[in-house]
Amino acid sequence: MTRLGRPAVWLLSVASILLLWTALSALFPPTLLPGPWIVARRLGELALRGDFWIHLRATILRVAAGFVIAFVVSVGAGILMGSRRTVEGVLESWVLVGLTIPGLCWAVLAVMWFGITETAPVFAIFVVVLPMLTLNMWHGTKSVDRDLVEMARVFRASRLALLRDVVLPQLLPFCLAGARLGFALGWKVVVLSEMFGLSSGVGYMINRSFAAYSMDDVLAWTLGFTLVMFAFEYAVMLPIERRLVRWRPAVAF
Amino acid sequence: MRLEMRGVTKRFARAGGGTLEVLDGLHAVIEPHGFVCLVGPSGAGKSTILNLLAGLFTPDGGEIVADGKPFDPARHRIGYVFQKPRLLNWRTVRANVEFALEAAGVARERRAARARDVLALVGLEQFADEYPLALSGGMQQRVAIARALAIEPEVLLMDEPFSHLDELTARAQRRELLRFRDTIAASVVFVTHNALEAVYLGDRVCVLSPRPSRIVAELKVDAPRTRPPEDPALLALERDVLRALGVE
Repeated sequence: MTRLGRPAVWLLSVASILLLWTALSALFPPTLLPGPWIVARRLGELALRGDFWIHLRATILRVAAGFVIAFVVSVGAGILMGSRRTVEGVLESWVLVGLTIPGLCWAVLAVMWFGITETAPVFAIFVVVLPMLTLNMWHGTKSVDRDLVEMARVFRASRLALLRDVVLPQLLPFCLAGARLGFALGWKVVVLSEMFGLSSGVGYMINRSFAAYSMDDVLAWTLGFTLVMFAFEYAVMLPIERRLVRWRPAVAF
Repeated sequence: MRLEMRGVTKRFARAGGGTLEVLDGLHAVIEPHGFVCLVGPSGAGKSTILNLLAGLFTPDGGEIVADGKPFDPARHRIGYVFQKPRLLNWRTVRANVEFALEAAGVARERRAARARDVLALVGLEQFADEYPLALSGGMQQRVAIARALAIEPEVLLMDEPFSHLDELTARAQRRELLRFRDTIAASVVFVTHNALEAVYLGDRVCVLSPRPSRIVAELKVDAPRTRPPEDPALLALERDVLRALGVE
């Protein structure tokens, strides 16, 4: 990272993905693996149609809703687990069980329980993402600097001040990691949900493209959502992260 | 405030079972506006004494008395300067001082002025808007001192505050501490394992025995406030302290 600037490294990284894809597509017929340019053109065609944006929006809203609920619950549960032995003892096995149940099971169960409703995908995302986020916040709370908590107690900081000014700032890096994890995982689950029991969303359209055996469309929809995730990372996550760590002087390892 | 520790005992459960007797009937008096230095070998329970006075621990036996009444740490303003600065690195220097002021219940509109005053006292007024990690270790410790002084403490507890600094910086900071010593109303309890530091700073020096600790010697320092650290009278006192510690 020393000689090449960050943008150059980023371009190199993206170019290497495209190059690998192009190289692989040369080995297979385009019905099995079309190259990036064919997929990009197809994505462009899809984007000109109104229903593309409707499906994309439906998927994004489901992921956002499931993620936000899971995130809020995980912050509370994770902090309690990290700071209270009894809560930790009670919830530890819940988290571990939750982590092992496959997302596919939840997607199926959610549709069987809630039918073809918006509740089904949001519920599936919530239950899949929650254990992972809770694990993250739980470990984050365990890593909180005890010396600073003791300092706050000596100066008689209120519980609110302790949480707001001492504990939460130390948990922010974990919140950011959790947001990235949660979105990535939520996307994987929502597609499954939409395939099984919904009539809208990116997963539904991928399933339809699959039924029509259109490889171009399957990949175009996948690429579309990947670009959304990229945009989210660069437009939302990175600026937040930069703002939150501005107190940290730049250090080179 | 006059603080008195009367026969205070403190035990801790050992990780491998059994108990560790840290203080066994400790008697100590901290005079109002006094500056007491506690000197003792490592593990002698010096920090335990400070934590008892800060209310982080409660004594297992004996009592602590403040101006004749049982001492309730929650009802007094207690400033604490730790070995390491223990600053909130995500808050500016000013906001670190204001954190203590807010915790002490100082009204919002008075906090800024008070923070400015104490930062000026420790010579950091131009650094009020910096973040702690942009400052040197010595400056960070001065922020910690400012934070403790900001709340106008009745008792100021200092736990080897200069032990992590290089000697030149530590020396400058000791001189600074003596300089503004008279402007603070607190009774100071200063823990150190450095005998010369103790006699240089304190009005009184209490020498602690190894665990379980009690006070084995108490020396009065009569040198004038603005004393050079190499004053022959201080060096003689240092020898007395070292003798009491059993290392001379």
